[in-house]
Amino acid sequence: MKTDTIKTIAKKHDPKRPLAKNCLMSFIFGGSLCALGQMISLFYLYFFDFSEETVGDPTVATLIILTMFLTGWGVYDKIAQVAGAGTMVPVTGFGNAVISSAIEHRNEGFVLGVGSNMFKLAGSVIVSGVFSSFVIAIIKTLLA
Amino acid sequence: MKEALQVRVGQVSYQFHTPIIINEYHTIAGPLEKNGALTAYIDTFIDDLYDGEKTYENCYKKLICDGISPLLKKHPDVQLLFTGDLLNQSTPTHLALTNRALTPITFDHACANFGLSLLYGALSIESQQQAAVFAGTMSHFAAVEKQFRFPNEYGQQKPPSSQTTVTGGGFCLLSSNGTGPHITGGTLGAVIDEGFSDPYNMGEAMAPACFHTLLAHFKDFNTTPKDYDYIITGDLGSVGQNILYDLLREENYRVNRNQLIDAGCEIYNKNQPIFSGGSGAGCLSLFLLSKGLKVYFKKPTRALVVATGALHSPLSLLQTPHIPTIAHLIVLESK
Repeated sequence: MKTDTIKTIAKKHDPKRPLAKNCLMSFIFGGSLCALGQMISLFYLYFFDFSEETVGDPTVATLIILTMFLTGWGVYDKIAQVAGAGTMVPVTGFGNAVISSAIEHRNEGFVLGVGSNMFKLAGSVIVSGVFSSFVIAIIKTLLA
Repeated sequence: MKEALQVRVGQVSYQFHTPIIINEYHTIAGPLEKNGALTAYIDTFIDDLYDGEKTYENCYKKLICDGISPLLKKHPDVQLLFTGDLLNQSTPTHLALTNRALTPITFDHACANFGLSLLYGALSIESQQQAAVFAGTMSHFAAVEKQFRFPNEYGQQKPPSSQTTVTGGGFCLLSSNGTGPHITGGTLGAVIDEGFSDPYNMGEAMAPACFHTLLAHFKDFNTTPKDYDYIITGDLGSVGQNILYDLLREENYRVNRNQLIDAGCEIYNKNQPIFSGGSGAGCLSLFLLSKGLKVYFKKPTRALVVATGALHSPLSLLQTPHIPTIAHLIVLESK
C-alpha cells in the first residue's frame, strides 16, 4: 500500500486537539495566575518597603515558591493538563520546568543528578533569552 | 530418527509441530491498573509507583523480580527467560535477575518484545534446545516517562492521541506439556517507517507495522481474518486500532470490528485519564496473561496476537525525526 494512502487514513483518525477549549482554559488559568501575581505585588507594595520598580522580584519569588510546593505535591502537572499554556507561559511554568527536573534526578546525586539536569528543560529558554538580548544589544549599539 | 517437519513457512513465518503451551503465568500491575478494567483477572498489585523502593528504576526492577519469582520457585530448572524492557540495555531485567540461575535473553523491540519473546521461546522448544522456557515483559510508567519523555512532575499538556505507559506486565512458562492455549505459529515483522514522527501519536506510527506483519502472515499461511476469532494487538490504542481497521478494509480484508481487540484499550476504564489507551512493553503481556487467557482462551479460540513496538529513542528522534516501528505475531489456539 502506498505511503500516501496510509498517511490519509492516519490523518483521518488523528483526534483533533480541542483548540477552543484549550484557548479558553489557558485564558482563564493564565489570567487568574496573573491576577494572583498582581495581588501579591500589591500586598508587597502596601505592607513592605517596595517600590513599583522593585516589587517584581519578591512577587516572582513568591509565585515560584508556590509552584515548588505544587510541583512537589504532584499537583502542578495535573493542573497543567487542563490549563495548557495558562500554566506554561507565566513564570510558574519556568519554575515548574526547573523544579520537576531537579526532583526527577535527585536520586542520581546532587552534583551529577540535580546539578547537571536541573536546567535540561529551562536551559534552552535561558540560552535563547541571553542570545536574543545580545543580538538586540548589538542592534541598539549600531543604531545609537 | 523421524524426518524433520518444515518449521519455516513462506517468507517470514513459522509453523510449530510440537505442542507449545502457555502453562502457567503470573501478572502484576500498578495503582492505575488496579482501578482499571482487569482488576479481577490480575494476580498482584503494587499500591504506588515506588512500592517501597527509592527510585522508579528500582521499582521497575522489583516488578520484574516479583513477576518472575513465583514461576521460578515452581520451576527452578528452567534456564532461559525471553524478555526485554524499555530502559537502556534492559537494566531493570538484568538487575532483577542478578545471582539467579536464569539467563535473560533480552530484546530491544520496545513494546513488541512480548511477541518476539513468545515466538523465540516457542522456537527454542520447537528446535528441542529447551524443554521449557519463560517469556514475558514488564513496564513501569514513571521510569519510562523519565527515559522517553519529560520529568514526571513537568506540567505539560498531552494531546488526545498520546498514550499512557502501563505499569505492570506478566511472565509465563512455555513448555511442551501441560494444559493451556497452544502457540501454533508465528510471523516475524520487519522494521517499517512510513514517515510518522509524532511521539505523542504512537498509534499511527505502529499501525502500519502491524498491518504489514498481518499481510505477511495472511500470505504465508494463505489465510484471511475470517480464519481467526480475534486479532489481539498490543498497544495501538484507539487511534491505531481505527487506522489498522481502515488499512485492512482498504486491502479488501473483511474484518469485523469486534474481531479487533487492543490490549491498550482493554486495561483501563473509560473514565481514567489515559488518553488514547495504554502502551508499553507490559501492556500486551498484562492483558493476554490475565483477561486474555482467563476469558477469551477459556473456550475454543484461534487468534492472532500481534505485539507492536516503536523503535525510536529520544536522541534518535531529535536527530532524525522518524519513528521506525515493528510488529511480531503469534498464532494462539485453545481447544
